[in-house]
Amino acid sequence: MRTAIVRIAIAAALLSGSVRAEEAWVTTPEYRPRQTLFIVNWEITGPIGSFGDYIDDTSFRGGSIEFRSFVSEKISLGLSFSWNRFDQTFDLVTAPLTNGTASGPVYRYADMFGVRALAHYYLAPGPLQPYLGVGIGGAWNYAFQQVADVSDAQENFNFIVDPEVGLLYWLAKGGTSAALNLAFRYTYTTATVGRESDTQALSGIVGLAFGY
Amino acid sequence: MNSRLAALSAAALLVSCGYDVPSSVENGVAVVTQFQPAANFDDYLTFSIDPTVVVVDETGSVSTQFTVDGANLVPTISSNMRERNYTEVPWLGDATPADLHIKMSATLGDVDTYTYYPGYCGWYPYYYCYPSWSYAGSYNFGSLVLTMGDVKNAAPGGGGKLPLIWTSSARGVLSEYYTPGVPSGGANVNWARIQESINRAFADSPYILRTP
Repeated sequence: MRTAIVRIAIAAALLSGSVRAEEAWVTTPEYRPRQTLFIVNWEITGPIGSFGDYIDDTSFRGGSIEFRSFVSEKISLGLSFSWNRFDQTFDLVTAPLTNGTASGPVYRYADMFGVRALAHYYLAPGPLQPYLGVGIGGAWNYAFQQVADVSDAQENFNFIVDPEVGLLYWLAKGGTSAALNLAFRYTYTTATVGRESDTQALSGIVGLAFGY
Repeated sequence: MNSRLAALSAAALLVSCGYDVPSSVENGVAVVTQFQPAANFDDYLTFSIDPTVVVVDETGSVSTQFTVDGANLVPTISSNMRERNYTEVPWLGDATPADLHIKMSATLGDVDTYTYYPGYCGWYPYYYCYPSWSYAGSYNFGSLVLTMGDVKNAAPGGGGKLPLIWTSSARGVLSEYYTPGVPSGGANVNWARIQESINRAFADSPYILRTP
């Protein structure tokens, strides 16, 4: 009997201790479903198509921020801002002219700022949340070329559309939740850089998402 | 707090927006070649090269013109022409009996080398494809222009002018090697750099060829 009382006392002490510990460690408010996502991304982008004829080096300088608001359990609408920089130096480029050619070492550069309306569909709930998405909007482009001591530049604002597939890996849940965002995106714009039009690119995206 | 960190992260991605043109490009040489569309380079047999370089110096407030000896460049031009099955005739002045007269001129400063030719040759109003290209440097200037005049088909009474069938401009080739306004006599000219540009001009013009 005494043994039983001691066991109960120890158990009670342990239980009460665990309760106190839980109260001490859990400081976030009560969990609630995420209504809004704020995402910061790093983008690694490779030019393709005619854009790849202008610059074929992969760009590691790019990023985006996204705001997504859930309008239903599986669908969010939002807005994103992105920036991607591309540049490359060519030792010798020979380009045709009317009745001739121009040749020389060339530096090419392009900046692309995009603003898009977003729509995403989430395929499954849970800690791994794959999604499909599309962004449609406008992109401001600035392209610059220099050969020896002469240069040229183009600046224009164009249509942009970019479907993507991605995955949210939720790392923490609470009043504020956090997830790793991984995505793969195809971008099409009507932008002109140098002599190339209809700029296209593929991006690998790594980001951090915060859910509220 | 989290949103503030996220915003700071996003801002960090957009930092470092400048770009640098590599010195290999800024100090490089741009070679532009153009030909007269109606010219048949197979029609000519002989050529002769004027070893005098007419220099137009536009670096000061007043344009000056002087001549320097360009005999160092003659073998480079000559070997390119002979490789294309043309026969050289020694230069005896403007009356040299050769089908083609090749002349050299140089411009110092930010000069449009495509519209200005001193003295001797006439100019067909070729269309140049980069009208919007602009001067991008502050120290890398000086162009060497080669012109190929058609003696064989020159109209009688042309006032000493010949129709051009080919031009080449190596922009930036003279760079800082000339002291503005001071005829150097070629003492501080980088001849190897100029010869390389001449070779490139011919390499870019494979149509200059007489069928053996």
